[in-house]
Amino acid sequence: MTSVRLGRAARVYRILVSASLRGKMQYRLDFLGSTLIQTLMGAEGMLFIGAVLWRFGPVMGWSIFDIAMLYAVSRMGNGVYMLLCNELDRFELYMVNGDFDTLLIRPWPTLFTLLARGVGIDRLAFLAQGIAAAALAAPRLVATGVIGGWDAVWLLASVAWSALLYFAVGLATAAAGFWIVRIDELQVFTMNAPSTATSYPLDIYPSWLRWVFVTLLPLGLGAYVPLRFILDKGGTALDLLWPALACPVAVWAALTLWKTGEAHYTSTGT
Amino acid sequence: MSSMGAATAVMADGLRKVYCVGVRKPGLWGSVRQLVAGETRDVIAVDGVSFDISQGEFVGYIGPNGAGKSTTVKMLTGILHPTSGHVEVNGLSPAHARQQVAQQIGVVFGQRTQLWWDLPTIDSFEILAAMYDVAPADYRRFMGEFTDMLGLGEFLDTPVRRLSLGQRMRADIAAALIHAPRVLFLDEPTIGLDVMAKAQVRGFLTRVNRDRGVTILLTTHDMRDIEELCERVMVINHGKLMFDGNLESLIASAGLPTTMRLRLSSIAPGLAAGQVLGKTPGDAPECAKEEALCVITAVDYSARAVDLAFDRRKTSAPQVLWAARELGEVRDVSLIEAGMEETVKWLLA
Repeated sequence: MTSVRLGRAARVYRILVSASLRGKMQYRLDFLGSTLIQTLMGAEGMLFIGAVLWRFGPVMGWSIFDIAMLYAVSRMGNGVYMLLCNELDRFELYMVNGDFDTLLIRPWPTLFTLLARGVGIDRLAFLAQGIAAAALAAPRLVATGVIGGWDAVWLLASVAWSALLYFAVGLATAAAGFWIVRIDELQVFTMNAPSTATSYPLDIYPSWLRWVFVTLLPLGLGAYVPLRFILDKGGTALDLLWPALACPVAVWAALTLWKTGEAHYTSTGT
Repeated sequence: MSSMGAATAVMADGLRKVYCVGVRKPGLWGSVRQLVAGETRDVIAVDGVSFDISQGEFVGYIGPNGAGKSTTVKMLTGILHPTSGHVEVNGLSPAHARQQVAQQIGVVFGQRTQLWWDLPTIDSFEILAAMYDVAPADYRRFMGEFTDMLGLGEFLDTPVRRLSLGQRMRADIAAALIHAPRVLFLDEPTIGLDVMAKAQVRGFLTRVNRDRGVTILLTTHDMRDIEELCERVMVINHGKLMFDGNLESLIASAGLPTTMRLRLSSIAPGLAAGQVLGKTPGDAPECAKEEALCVITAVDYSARAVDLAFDRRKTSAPQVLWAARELGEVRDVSLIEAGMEETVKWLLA
């Protein structure tokens, strides 16, 4: 892609995102209500875990602050994904209503126009929850010497890996819609449940489920695996590199599935 | 616009689209069986369709619901990939070079707007101008011309969701032309419009085709669209192309009867539809020497009117008039030729 094309893409992306935001702002009450609900959803899970840990102490070596940092990284990764890739979450509507037609008649990659059509500004709560949890945990972890030096860089990298892995799994799940059309239930299985599960230490799950969360549905690979090493809960320095190796492969596989799926798109009757 | 000898704009060769659909059995148990067994069957939507459309042509593509019109258009625009066969638009395959083809074509789906639903209409134009990389000067020229031609000015600031169907369709058509495409695909652009709105859309499309040389493929169920706009018509049914030619040859090939409507000073009792008139008597004048044959198709006693159907290829109008003298004194005569509507019904029957 030439720099001219990149410049055009950036301009078109900005214009489409702006249009999406202005469209959402037309319905202020819905927008505010949705943002409030998103803020409350998810936060209650962390509050519950926090209450349990406060009462019973560390779980399998993970203190409340360790878990808060893991939750923060996972939540921020999810938040970035939700912010930039919100339309993947709503992709079933494009298949059921045939709205994907309108993306295919434009001179841009469908994934580009799809993502630009609906930035999840009302999902910023996910990112905010992650930042809040990190702000809560970081001072204590630094004070106790658990993290320091370059760890901040690795933690930020983990957020990026996590976001990329969310993108890969979310994209592959959406691409399944080209064949099966309805994907809402599949999204619960591949995205929603694993997202919640991998916000906490995988040590609490049976080994086969841990394996699933770092291979088939690798949402645990972006946060749990590197943080296990960063927070001195085991593992080796290689744990910092596995996500870097896995992310490109996962994203490439998801993009390939998307491209293949496009050719299988059946649209709807008129 | 005449297009003899012009380069090919759209080409389909052996175009075929087969959908694999689940076999649904009635009832809950049937649904469970379908879910478990996963039984499927092939549905052929388009079956070996071939045609060439020259640059500047205005072609009507008609057929009943489910005939394969929209599926064909979707393959031509790159939305669907053909199961087999080949498509080219301006020399490019929509399936393999979708983005390049999209830059050269405009598409309007009458039943699905492509505008940004919650935003003022003008915003959709500005977004599309950016997407198609329309130069600012070209965009200003476009807005100047099209605002006037399509009367867009009255609703440019109105959100798309608040437009009437006629306004929305005008905006959709303008949006499809913002990047000056050489080929325009219109899938039922007049559906649901009132008479005035239809006339406005037709007038505009005529100008776009005639003045700008834009190649247009139009699908519609309104035969007036075809009669007023298209020199050439393609008829598809059950996925197969049944006819491809000009309107005159389509009507002539059907050979449907002409109707002569007579208003009489009085009607003799006993006349009924199906009655044959005009076995030529020996004393017939020169104009009716050959056997004249016509059939009564309708009798309206209150209006004192009788409809007679006859085949123009065998019988002339004066012969029918001669045969009709036995009905009574003729006050008025009018001839009604079979139109597109009747011809297409006959072709698809």
